Amino acid sequence: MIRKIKQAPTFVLLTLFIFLVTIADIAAPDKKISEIENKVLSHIPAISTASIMNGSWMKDYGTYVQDQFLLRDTWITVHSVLETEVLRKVETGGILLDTKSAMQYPRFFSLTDSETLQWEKNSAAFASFCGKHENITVMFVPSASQLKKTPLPAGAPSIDENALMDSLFRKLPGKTRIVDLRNTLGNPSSSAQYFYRNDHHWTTDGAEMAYRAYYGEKAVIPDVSLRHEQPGFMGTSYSKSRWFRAQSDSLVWYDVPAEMTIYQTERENRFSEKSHGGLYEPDALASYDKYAFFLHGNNGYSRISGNGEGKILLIKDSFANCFVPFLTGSYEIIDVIDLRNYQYSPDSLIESEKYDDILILYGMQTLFTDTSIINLNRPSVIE
Amino acid sequence: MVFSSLPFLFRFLPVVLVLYYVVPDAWKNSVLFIGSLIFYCWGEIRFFPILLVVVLINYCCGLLLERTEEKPVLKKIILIFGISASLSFLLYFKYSAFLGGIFGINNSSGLIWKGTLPLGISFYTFQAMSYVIDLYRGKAPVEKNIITFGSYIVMFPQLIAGPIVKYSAIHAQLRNPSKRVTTDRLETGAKFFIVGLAQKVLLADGIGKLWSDIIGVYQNGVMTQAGVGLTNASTGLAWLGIAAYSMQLYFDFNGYSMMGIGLGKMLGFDFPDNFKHPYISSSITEFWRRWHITLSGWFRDYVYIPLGGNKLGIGIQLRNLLIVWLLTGIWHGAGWNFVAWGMYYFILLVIEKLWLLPFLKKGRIWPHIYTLFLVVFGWGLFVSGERGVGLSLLLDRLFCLRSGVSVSYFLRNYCVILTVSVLCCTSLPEKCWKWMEKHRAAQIIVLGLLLAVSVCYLVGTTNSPFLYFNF
Repeated sequence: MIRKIKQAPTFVLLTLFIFLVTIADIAAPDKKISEIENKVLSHIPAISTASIMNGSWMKDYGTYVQDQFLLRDTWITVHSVLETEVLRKVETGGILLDTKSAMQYPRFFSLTDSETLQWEKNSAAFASFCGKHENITVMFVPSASQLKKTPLPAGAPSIDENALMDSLFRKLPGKTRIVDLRNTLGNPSSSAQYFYRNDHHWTTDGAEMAYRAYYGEKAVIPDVSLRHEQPGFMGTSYSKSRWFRAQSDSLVWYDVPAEMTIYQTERENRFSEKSHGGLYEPDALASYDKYAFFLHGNNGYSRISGNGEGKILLIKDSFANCFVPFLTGSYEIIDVIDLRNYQYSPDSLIESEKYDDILILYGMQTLFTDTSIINLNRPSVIE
Repeated sequence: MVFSSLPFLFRFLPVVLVLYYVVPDAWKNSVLFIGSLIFYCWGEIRFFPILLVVVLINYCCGLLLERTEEKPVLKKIILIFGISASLSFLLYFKYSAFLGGIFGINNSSGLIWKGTLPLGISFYTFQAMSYVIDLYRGKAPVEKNIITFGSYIVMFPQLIAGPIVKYSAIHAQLRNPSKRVTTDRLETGAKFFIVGLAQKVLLADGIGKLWSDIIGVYQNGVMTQAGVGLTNASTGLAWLGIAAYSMQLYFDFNGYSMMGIGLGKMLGFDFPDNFKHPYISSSITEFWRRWHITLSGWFRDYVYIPLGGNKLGIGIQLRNLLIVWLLTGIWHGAGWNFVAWGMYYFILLVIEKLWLLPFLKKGRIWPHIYTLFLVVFGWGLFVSGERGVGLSLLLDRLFCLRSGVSVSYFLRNYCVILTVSVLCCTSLPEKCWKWMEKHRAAQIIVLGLLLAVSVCYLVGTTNSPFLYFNF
């Protein structure tokens, strides 16, 4: 027997490896969710004649084996190390890596057909909505890769997001106030960090610059004694790349005296109170997705009470979540709508609440994929 | 099911291997047959009946050919019936839309199939035809056991992507299960399998990313990841792109073939080689003796030689070459770009045969450059029908000096993998292999590393995080 093993060592190696991993994989308990991938992991699919006949069971079983594979995260990390250290690549998992600045950029070599189409639809939706109302300001957060302060690794191809933003601004009616955040965030001489290294969002300091640009001289910046830093933040870009050389970011937040009521949407402009409390979700700081700390994630409709004067409606994506705390110094009532979870036009809400200001704040990357923005112009369903 | 996937490596393969090695010799073909049917159904259960029908028809034709041994006319009729029956499925599923387009027959007549191809039909049809033809010619005896015969057609190591194994080459092994599993075959099979897996997962998929970074990634006809776009690529980048594609195609196909050969060996079968370092060729003639050897061998033995080969004068030889190359082109796909690709090689081979070959044999370096250039351009023709490419766009980018996205980022991002890929296209790997055969300890370490790294990549490329929590 030993002689036979010596004669066929590769065969023994291969079969031992396969058998041991298979048995360990089947024996290992299934995990429910993956925090780092932000998803529920699949479990073993139920067998039925129908699902076997149409092939869906086989496909689902394959996904199950992948999702629950033994030491999955370890294999993924080693894969990333091999890509960057052995193959010396500057891109892995769809993320471009800059070793000098430790920045991770989601790659956009060009837009897919569906992204181009969605962009056209969303630009038109904004233009149409801005035409209907008087007191609107728009701010779109550029991607870090487009700014001189935080450029891509040399020569990397990219869409011309600047040109896209220019074309969007051209579509908006003259009465809409445009705050061009490229000027605010693009100054290379500033040493502050406006974008996270490992996440596609901007930092709280970046949001603060935008708030100053929006509100001007009367901007009320929270006192430095209220400033807190939570280190160890690795975000969406790190999930994709698992970069060995990533340097974690610090989440900055201000403990402003403000309260937030989150509402459940019953139907258009009809809400019931769901919860009441502070602006932040402390449990998120202990999990992987620390950015969910801000504003308890992306709720359809919520109302925040501030210490200023006036009423503002903020129509947003997740970028505004770290921006809202700054608004509490300037407004008394801040209504926040996230169209992904409030899929009606805000027109009826605007009519009933009579806001002093309306602010649209989105990240540019969202505009390529978000399918809820067209709800801005959805006809009212109220009888 | 794909060999380079987690369900195959860590569910199907261990179960099948255990059963196969443990059962008595008389049951081995049954395990192989049933296991292969499950393998097929895993990928494509709805076309399973077609596979069974092809097996049954050819099995019956085999029995009838034995009965009509003394009646040549009847024997010929059965041969023609068997070949036509096998081909009819292939013609319908693969070529009806293309032929319909030529002859103006439209969809509503029910004669056109516009869906996906049944898995492996291009391969198992040819193996089925090989059975009846070899029987007719007396090159092999009839197989009366349907399980044994069925195993020949459906055995999973070569069912989906070859190598195409002639019946006469393998019938002895099929009938003698007791002589199959030897230590030597197990060891060679394991080595082939690991090297094939590494080629597919590390080299092919790795260098293939360069090409998909240019043209984008498509799934079911929809672009799921944007590339630079061939319209935005510079001429240099377009050439780098099809060079990368050429290497991807080789490592993908060679890797998969090696996995198939390795699996076959571990089950006790000796399949023929499918590739022999094609990119070191110094002529197109030589290239086609080193690329997809089992396909060109099949056409040579079952089309070229029966038509007279080169024995009936130059005119007939050219006609035979033309037919073989039309068929070779169209076998790869039902589209005009494949016909063009086949004709491209026909013309080049005729030029070499009639004039150029003696000069090529005398050259040292220029024949290799000549061959590589023509082969890489040929792959450009070959891939031009795919989403994101387009023949006129590709030709424009390749031959009109276009500025656009330059090669610099791609050379930087892919420098290591380009170097390794180019080296693996030479005869260097063979030399390394010969060295390792004498230094077994080093060989085991290298193969073990390749296996582990391949699994890393198989898991790593399934990483698919969501930006916001996906309920």
